[in-house]
Amino acid sequence: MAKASFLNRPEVRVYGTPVLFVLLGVLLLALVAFPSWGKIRDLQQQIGNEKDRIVALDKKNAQLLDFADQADAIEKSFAVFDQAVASESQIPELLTQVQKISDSCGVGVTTLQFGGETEQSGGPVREVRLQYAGESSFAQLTCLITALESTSRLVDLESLRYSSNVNVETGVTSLAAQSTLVSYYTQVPTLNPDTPITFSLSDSGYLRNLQLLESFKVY
Amino acid sequence: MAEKSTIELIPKEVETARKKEVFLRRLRWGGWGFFIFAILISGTLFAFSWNLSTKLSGLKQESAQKVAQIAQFADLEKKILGLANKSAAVTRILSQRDYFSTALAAIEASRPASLKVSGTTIEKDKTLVTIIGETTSYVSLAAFLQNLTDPSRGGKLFEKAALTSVNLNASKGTAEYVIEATTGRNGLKRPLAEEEKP
Repeated sequence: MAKASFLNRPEVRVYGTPVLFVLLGVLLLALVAFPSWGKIRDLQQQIGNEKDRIVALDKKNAQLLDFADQADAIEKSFAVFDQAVASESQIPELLTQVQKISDSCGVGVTTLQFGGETEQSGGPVREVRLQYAGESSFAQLTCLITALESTSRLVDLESLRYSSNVNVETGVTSLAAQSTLVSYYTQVPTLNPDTPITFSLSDSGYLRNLQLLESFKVY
Repeated sequence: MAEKSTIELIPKEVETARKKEVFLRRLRWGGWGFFIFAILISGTLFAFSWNLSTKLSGLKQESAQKVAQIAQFADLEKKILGLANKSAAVTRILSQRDYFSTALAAIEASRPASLKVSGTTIEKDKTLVTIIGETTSYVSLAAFLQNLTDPSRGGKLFEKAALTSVNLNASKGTAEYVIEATTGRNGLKRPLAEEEKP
């Protein structure tokens, strides 16, 4: 009854229809046009990004196809670099290498133990520390240090301290050396299709490193 | 002469009603017009955004195909990224490496035959090398100090060499010394170009 009487009021009958259309128009603009406008801008941005992504993916795909043609060379180079900077800590192999180098120089190893791992800041490289102690002559010690500096798996000396000891029974003087050795490894990289390939087999730094590592001795 | 009076043929009420009718007609057309305009604008924008959504969906499908193609080379990509990481690591390691053998060689090249070096301490990234030993002759000790900074001997590496202590060991008849030799900054490092013949 109240609804019917409201619709029958003269001002509603006269102005109702045009006002209703204006309200419907405003509602349409508010509920459809404005959200669509915002969505269009967002979609245009996304389309731009997606097009850029496709261009980058195409480029990466083409690079990978090129690399695939040189798969054998990559495999060989990887083996050389993996020997220098391993993909895992490979501590037993590292200990064995240091033991072999010591043996080859005639240095008697008195201590060789794993001293922990640390992560280098700002890179994927991790460090493996070894505590080393050995007895030798000066010439043997020099041989050991030089050999460590040119071994196929990279080993750095963080510190070296030696002093001479006289064997009371034999009267022979020898050097007792202690050192902290550091070796390195990089973890297997996590693949992301959006990560661009910036590496090139013709990069001068890479070629120099490859040539250098190939000259290092494998123990 | 009779006066001529103005005769109004249309009553005022009718005139007002006509004006109101014109206003109402315009209001109705305005309302309709605005509604039609709103429909057109909303429809156009909606259709355009729908079109863009479809386009984006197509592009996403295309990039998914490219990602799948790249995934086929996963093993190769791992090797390439590994090579890049390892090569960068090798450059960094070798350029930051301190070659302790250089210090040992410089000490040995400076040592007079009659002087004994019984101990040395070298630390990475430090310029100070401590040398301890004993000698039967102060002349040899002086020569050793001089040789350490002689460019044809230890001076290739050491910039300064200072005697920090000497103790006479009367029972052995020797003088025990401690020398602190200072290398230049990065003195134990080698530029990578020179690494080729270690």
